[in-house]
Amino acid sequence: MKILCYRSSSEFHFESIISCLSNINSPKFQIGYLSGEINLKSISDFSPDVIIHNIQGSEKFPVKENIISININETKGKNSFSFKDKSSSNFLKPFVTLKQVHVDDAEIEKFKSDVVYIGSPTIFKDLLSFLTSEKNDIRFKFFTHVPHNINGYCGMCDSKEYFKFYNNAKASLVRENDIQRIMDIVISDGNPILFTGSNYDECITLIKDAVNKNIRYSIDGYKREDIIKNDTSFDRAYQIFRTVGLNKLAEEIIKAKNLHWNTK
Amino acid sequence: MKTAICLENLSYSAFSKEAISEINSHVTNSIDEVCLVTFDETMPFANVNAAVFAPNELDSFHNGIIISHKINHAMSTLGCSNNSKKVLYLYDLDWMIEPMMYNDVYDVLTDRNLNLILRSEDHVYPIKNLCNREPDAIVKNFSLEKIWNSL
Repeated sequence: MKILCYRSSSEFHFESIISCLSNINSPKFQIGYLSGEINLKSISDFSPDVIIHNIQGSEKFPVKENIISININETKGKNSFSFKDKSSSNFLKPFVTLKQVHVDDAEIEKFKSDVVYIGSPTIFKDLLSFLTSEKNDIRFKFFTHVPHNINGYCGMCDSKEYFKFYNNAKASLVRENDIQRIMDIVISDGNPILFTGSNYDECITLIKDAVNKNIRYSIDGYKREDIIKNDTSFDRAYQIFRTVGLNKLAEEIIKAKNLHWNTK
Repeated sequence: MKTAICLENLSYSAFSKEAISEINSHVTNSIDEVCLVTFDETMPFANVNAAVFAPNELDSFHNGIIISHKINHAMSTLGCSNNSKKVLYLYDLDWMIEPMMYNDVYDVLTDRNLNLILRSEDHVYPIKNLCNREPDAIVKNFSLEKIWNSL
């Protein structure tokens, strides 16, 4: 079976799902990738049986051939899937992308910190003053693509390295409603501290305890084992292919997941 | 002492003004070989009483000192195949002004082949926070004598 992944625009969750396919270890499945202009000749040369794409608003991939079209683009078709519409029967719940956590001893200093945050910390207001004050001696690192002239700003970092920062920080700040980041922190064995938007004093106490006493925290409803078992990009790819009736491909995805996770 | 100072270009900037003033006043009464290396070609905003080279000349700049004031220039000088001492006279905390990758900033600032000199004591804490490195010296106003003496 030949599967063509067509990338209309770069979108993190879509990339994560199609990247699972490259882990398939069976000669029965051939995977092709295409992006940019749709070149009908190259598509017919490859002659795919399945096309998985993210073209906005399209319920079918625009080719005449009888190809199974899987649409990851929030449309309402039978083979369409949504990351946003919770009422959709083909809703894809938030998931994590498995990434390396291990860091060589020689590099560990690069990823160490007392508190880490991915994003702009200006929402933290009073808490930010605490984190960036020299007298508190908190080694705070934050990363975002917009330069900030604030102590603790460290530049931009590759999303592949988020888990290493979470894993090597004594605490990882996260907004209460940022499910994606919470899952990332939990799966990378980080130490999450939830910011609700107003719990400044509580966060300061939690940070002090995490930094000075190595206290570990957990968040109700998020367990590392459960996330690894049910909420990875492999599980969502499995859900997609099971839903459209490609059961053998779905099984290969799960095999690839086990291999992937056991080897990294 | 044989020294090359790296500049982005010869247009006006706070650092290029300081550096060119320092060179011009220094070469008047000294036999030290001091030159400039510019990464971009522009018309100079002031007379420069020293030779100006392109960055590719750095590969044959041996037995001297190469001073850069920006992290991306320091990255280039560290990649040069010469035996000169490399100095980063960090004028500003570059990554807080322009988008930069943490890995690049960290790798340059922690490179033990690089002498790290800061312009301001205010820069010590952010650098310690970022990469746990203390500077080799703090020189508040750009001065070749002070930088040479700190090495």
